[in-house]
Amino acid sequence: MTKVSLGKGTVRYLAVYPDAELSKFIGTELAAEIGFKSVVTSSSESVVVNSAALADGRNAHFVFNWSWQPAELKFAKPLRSVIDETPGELSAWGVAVFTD
Amino acid sequence: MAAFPHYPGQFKQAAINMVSRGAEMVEYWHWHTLPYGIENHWGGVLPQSLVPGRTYESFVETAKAMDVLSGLGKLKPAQEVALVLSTASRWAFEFQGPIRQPNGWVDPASYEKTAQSTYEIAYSNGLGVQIYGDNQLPLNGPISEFVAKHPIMIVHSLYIASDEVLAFARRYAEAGGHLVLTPRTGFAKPNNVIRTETQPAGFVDVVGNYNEFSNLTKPCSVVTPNGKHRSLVNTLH
Repeated sequence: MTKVSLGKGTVRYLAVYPDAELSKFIGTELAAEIGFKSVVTSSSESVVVNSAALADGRNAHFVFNWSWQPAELKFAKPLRSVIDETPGELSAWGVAVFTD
Repeated sequence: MAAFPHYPGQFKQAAINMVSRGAEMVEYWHWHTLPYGIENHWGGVLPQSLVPGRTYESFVETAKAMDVLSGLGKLKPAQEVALVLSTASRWAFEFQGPIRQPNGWVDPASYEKTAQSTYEIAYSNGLGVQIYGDNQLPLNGPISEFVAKHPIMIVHSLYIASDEVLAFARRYAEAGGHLVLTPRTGFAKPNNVIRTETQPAGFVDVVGNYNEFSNLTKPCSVVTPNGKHRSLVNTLH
C-alpha cells in the first residue's frame, strides 16, 4: 500500500484488496485528511450514520444499529430529535434520526 | 429466492436507510400473499387469510416513520466520496478476475466482491458515497469543482480505462483531491488490449511500478505507510 503526495493532493495505490479491518483503517485516515467528523458516534461497530443535507442547509443524521445488541450513542453537539425512541442509545436493529 | 421472516424493526430500518441515501418513495411489494399462481409463499403485508399479524404491524410502524420523515423535505445525501466503477472492467473480471473459487476457476463475481471491500473504506467511517460509471465523469469540466464536491475519489479496479479517465484521476489529485487506486487500474485500453507501458499506467512516476501479480490462497499482511501491519483479503470469497 503506497501513499504519496501529488500536487496539492494525495495518491494511494492499493496493491491488494483490503479486508474490513484494513478498509476501516484507510477510511479513518482519509476522513482525518479531509477533516470529516461524524456528529453522532458509537463505540459499537454495528452503528452506521448516514447524513444528508436539508433544503435549508441543515444536516439530517440517520443512525442505524445493525445488530442484535443495543448500542450507546455519543453526540458531538446537541441535535434535534426527529425519530428517537430510546434517547442516548439505539435498541437492537434500532434507528434514530436527528437534525442540526 | 429464499424468503426469510423479517426481524423486529427491519422494515423501518431498511426504509429509512433508503431515504437517508436519497429515496423519495419506498414501496413494499406486495399487499397480501397470493393464495394461487406463483409467488404464493410468504411475502405479503397480509397473509392469504388477510388477517393482520406481525408483518402488518411492522408495515404500520414503517409507514408512520415515513410520515414523520416526509416533514424533512427533499434530502441531498452526503457525498464526500466519489466511487468510480467500470462496467467494461466488471465484464473483463468475469472472465479473468482476481478472486478464485475453491476449484481454482475465477470467481465471476470478482468485481462486485472487490468493489464491496472498497466501499467499506467509506461506509465503515460514515462517509457518503456517490457512485460514478467511468463514462459519467466530468472529464472536461472544472476539476476544482469535482474536488470540492468529492474530496475523496476511489477508482476501483479500472482494469479497462481510457487515457482520458486516467488523466482525469491524476488531475484530480494534483488539484487537491485524495485519490485511491485499487488493483489493476489502468491495465488495459478501452478495447481491452493490454497496455505495454509499465504499470500502473499513468502513475508510475508517482507510486512506483509492478510487473508481477497473483491472487492469494490465504490472507497475508500488508504494510501501511507508517509501518503498521494490517491483515487483508481474508474475507473476499
